[in-house]
Amino acid sequence: MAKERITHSICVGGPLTIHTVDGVIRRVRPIVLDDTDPQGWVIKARGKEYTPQRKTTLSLLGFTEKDRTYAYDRVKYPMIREDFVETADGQNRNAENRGKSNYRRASWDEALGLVAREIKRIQSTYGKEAVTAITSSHHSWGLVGYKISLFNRFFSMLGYTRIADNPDSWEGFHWGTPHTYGYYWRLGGPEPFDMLHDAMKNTETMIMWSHDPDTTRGGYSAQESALWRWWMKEMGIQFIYIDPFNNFSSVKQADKWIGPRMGTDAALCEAIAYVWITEGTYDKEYIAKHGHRFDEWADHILGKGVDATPKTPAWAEEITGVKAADIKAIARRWASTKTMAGSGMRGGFGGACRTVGGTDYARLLVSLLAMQGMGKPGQNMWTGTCGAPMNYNFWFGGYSDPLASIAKSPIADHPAVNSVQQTLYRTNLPDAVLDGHYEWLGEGFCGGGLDFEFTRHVYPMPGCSEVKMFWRYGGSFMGTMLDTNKWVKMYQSPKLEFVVNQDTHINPEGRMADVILPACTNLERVDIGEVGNSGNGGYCSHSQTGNSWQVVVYQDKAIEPLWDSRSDFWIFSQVAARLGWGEEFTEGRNEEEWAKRFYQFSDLPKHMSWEDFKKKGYFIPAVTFNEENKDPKTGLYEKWDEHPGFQWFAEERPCDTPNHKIFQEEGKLGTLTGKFEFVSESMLYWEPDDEIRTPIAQYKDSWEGHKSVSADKFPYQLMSPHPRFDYHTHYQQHATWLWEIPQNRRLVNGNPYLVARINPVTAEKKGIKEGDIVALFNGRGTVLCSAHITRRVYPETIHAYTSSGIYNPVEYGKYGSVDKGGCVNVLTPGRLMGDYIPAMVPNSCNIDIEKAEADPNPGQGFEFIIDSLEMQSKFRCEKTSAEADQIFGEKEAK
Amino acid sequence: MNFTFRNPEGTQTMTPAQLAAKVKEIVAACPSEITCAYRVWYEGIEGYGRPTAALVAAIEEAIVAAGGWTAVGPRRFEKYGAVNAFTNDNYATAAKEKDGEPLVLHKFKTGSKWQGPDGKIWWIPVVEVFDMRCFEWDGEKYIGEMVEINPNSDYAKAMVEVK
Amino acid sequence: MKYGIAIDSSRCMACYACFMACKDEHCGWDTTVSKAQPHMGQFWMNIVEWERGDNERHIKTATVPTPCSHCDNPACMAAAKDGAVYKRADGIVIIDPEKAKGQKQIVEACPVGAVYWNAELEIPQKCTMCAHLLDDPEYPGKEPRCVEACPNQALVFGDLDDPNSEVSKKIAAGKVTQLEALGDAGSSVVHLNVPSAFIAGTVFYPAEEEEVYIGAQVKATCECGKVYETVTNWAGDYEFEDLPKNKKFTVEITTKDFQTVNFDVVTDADHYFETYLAK
Repeated sequence: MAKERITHSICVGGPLTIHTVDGVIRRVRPIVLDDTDPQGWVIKARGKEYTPQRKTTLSLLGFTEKDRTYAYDRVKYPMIREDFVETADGQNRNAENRGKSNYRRASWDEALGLVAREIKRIQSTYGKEAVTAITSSHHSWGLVGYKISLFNRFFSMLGYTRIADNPDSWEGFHWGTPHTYGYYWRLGGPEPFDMLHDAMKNTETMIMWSHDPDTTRGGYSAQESALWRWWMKEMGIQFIYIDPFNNFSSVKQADKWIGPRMGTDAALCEAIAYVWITEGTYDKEYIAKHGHRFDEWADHILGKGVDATPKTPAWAEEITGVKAADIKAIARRWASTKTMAGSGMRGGFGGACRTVGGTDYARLLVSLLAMQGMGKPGQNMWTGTCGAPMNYNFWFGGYSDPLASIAKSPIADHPAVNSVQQTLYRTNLPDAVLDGHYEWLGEGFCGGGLDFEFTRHVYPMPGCSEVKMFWRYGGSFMGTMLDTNKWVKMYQSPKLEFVVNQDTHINPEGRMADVILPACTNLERVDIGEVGNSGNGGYCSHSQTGNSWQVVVYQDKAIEPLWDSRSDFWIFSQVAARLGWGEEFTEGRNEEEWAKRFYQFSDLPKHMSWEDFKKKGYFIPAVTFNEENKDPKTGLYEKWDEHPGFQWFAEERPCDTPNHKIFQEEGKLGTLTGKFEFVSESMLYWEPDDEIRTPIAQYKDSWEGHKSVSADKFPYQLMSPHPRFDYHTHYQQHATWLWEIPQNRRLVNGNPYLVARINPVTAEKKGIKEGDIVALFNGRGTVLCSAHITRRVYPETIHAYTSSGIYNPVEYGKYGSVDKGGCVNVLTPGRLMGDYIPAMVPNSCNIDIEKAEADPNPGQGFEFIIDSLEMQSKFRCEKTSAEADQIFGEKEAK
Repeated sequence: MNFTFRNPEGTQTMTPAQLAAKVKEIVAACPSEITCAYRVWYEGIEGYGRPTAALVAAIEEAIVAAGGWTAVGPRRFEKYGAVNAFTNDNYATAAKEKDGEPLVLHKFKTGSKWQGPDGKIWWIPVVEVFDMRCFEWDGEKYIGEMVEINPNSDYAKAMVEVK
Repeated sequence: MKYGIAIDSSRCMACYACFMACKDEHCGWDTTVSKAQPHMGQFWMNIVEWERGDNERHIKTATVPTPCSHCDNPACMAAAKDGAVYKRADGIVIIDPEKAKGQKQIVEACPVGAVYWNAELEIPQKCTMCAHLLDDPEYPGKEPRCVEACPNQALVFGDLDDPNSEVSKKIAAGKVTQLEALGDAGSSVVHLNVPSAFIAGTVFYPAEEEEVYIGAQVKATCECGKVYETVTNWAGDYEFEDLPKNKKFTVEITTKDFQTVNFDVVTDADHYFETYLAK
């Protein structure tokens, strides 16, 4: 075979082994472990031994990395909007043409010079805060290049108005469960540590609520946990799936599926509690010891509260559409067997918590777990993802670890500190920019304390300027934020005097910029990282337990940057240099030298030299075996260091799990009372008058749902959960192989239409046949999809995945234009969950559906994205920008 | 003036003296370095609802009167925001374990500095039951690479806090 | 030595890792045994999927990863002229891209639709079981790309002639369900546990009771004489899976305290029944 070079990297689909031939990527593979890698853990349960396969896994997205790297829609050159005029006062720049106008190719010098001049002009005219910037999460992976690292370093040194992220994937848990069981520092999520071992030994029932683990894959954990769930299935554990969509895991694995009407899960929880309370089948001793104001809550459930409504299964049937008989059966199964339950991706996620009743549902689910003695063996909050045995003593920085960022110490000699206090809030950025005024509560991610949920923010901050320059870096919010037609309006406002987009691909928002800077992908630059590791003390700490193996990777450069793209680090250093602080920004280090800093400040040097690590490309630490536990016959170790999540609480001992708080050592939870609060004291303390997030969590009719006014006009409910065939918005537009999956998209007239799932009853009523183009619409917009007729949803529900990487309006740059890209987020409500809860609620969305015609135009709505098939075949062996010029230069350089 | 409130035992009415005695009992059992009236109210009294201003004032008075606690003015608590705080005068010498299990965060607070028996000063940014992550401190900044110290090791037991 | 792949449909979750790995290997790149697969339009590892069930309360999907079967007596080989299709000693069936030029009948000959026509090159193309990698001593992987990609052990590769190989053990432990179009013909790709038809249902107390009935005796008698028995579980559910297709069954539901229920059903498809008991 031709001489192949093998390097490694990481993407959101898992760790990559990359083969290159003569500087071109030949293939990407998972990592197959060799003899120098350690023995895996062995779980002995119910008479069998279970150990992970000696390879890592990749999701389908990981296997498209080559396709994504050479994609037709890569940003190839620096580009400047054709009708952009660099006026001295920032006005009259044809801002209203953003999204419509064409671009011309520019040199790096011209583009960077313009960006630096504009930063200087805007900051000296209006103040530092007039610049704002934001990134998506994980369009690349690695501790040098990640947003909390590189992006943070550049913009903190520059001084800018930070845009706080909302916890968009788990709103209800983030804003809800801290008021029931604490864990605000885990952003509302549970402790999954060592739950796999516990479940395999003890659990009899798994309740997968609003959870599609084969699709959401534990977050960043490829398909690692799929095999665990098959083991559990095969040992006879009963799987109950609760989700309005009989999801991809459920149709394969469920012993029972029930599909409550979207946004009514809280009522289901209350009815389960009703069964337990009336039948006396909950852990009374545990509740007496660890519950706060349970009796008042029980009165509410039994109908002795102010609403005088018993929350009977029949009451819940009316609301949820789930038969009372099924509710009772599930309640009894849960109470009579050792049961693990949780919601969504890692236990504290799921579409159900992204509805108006999301906090109620999340808090009630935790309340139910408490009623069954959460933390006792086999009974915990866990969903079959995360919680593999891990080496607790092996320290390597995770992506949100406070100690693992080039913006901070100890990685940087001089940490970067943002001098601007003003902030914006991502969900409502367009409202703030367009109206020039916005107020909200909360810090976005409130890991720092319950009080963070209630901080008051006003934009502009008194004495501060509005933002005038927007630097958008990586990915597209058109497919992840809500009512996203507003973003078009924002971009076309002259209030934004200058818009920069820095990205690897021309994403929907890239087409709205004045200057587009071409960044190279992960595969074209150096970085370092651990697969799935969010870090200690960061977001959902130690999420690498979602993997069967802990894998630290030297993310070597597989190929040279394609075309004129450059690494993000290079781009930021160049701008910093033009602003006069290039040396301070880089501290004299290149990317590899920064990567080496993360190696140095970790446990890796104890195991492997830098040279060996670079050469092998990855390192896998073994779980901590105790020599005494070695089986002399098999040579296998039977025990390792374990710190099972939440068991410390049930067993009333000091907390021994990672990322713990001082009060946990006193046996207390993170609530005000330190107990499970059935009536939330923190809500009574902070916002007792909130009508959405009430002290007693309970089902309430949504302001947009089956009983709201808009249901008369738009009687169907759109369910748009996290996608199976994309990650955030980072793959769908770029990796065209994904368009060939019939459950994902169908090509009509050259356009890949997103699949919308509708029940046969709905289809018949509307005269829709399989594969027909349908319009999903409401007062906010219209999206064309391809109809898939299926009994996996009930008639009232229409399912279409969120996070469409493609936003492809029929009329580009026109506010409210019909979208044929499947960006259903133009339909979802932009309104926050409540006045006191800055949460977005995509799954409270009423729509109607009609049969429609496909757009006859085969194009992608943007003339730089020409026929994908033709481009793909030509890119395949593309090597240099000079050669690319021969093919594309004429057209694009003009 | 008596205080009437609810807690798990039902509706309570306490004279100021009874309240003070109850608070004294609660703070005496408190192993923390810092507390506040709200913590006494929620965790100790297990009171229902946010306490009235008068009740808060009475609890604060009682904390000081209980002895061993010093009023230090408003401090931020993660659960309550910035409220009047009281520090434990006897914290340094208090036991840092419960039923034989270590209370490592009570001993080695995140971000604190400790001197080892070999004279080295350590800055401790990460504290877990099973290990601590430390950097050597040269008086102004940390130096060298990350070092792991087991909080239950003899070395850790011989360390002395540096203020 | 006979290379083979066992494909266990019961373990497949349609994650499309095998599908993507195959495209990653073959699109745009010639190998020692094949021409490049076009970027889009061919599915050497095709995932065949169908929805099972006639009631929302009990829906499953069947997913069958379907590459070339590498038949023992390949129809494509018989249809090919000039030896354009050949079977190697290890059982892998290869289309010679030079000799097969213009031979569209090779595509049409395949009973399972696993051969694709490359209009640009005018050649038939299909799965090679990654023979170019298996033949390459320097290639670090030991398996075809699809098998290496499978996270769930649904695809297992090895020597079918060796009874101790993983693939032979997998086949021995599973239920062989050869693709219908192949009949009894042998092949190097062996499909396991492809589902046939189910009869399932839930038994309830009379509607006003709002209760499922746990422990009801359910008996399904096939016209062929075979009898299947089970009891309703904690959810009141019963299921007879993998029944012979297109047979008439008589289902009988017996309880201690209610009238026995009988009904007939034909396994032309997957059927689900809700049964409310009566005194």
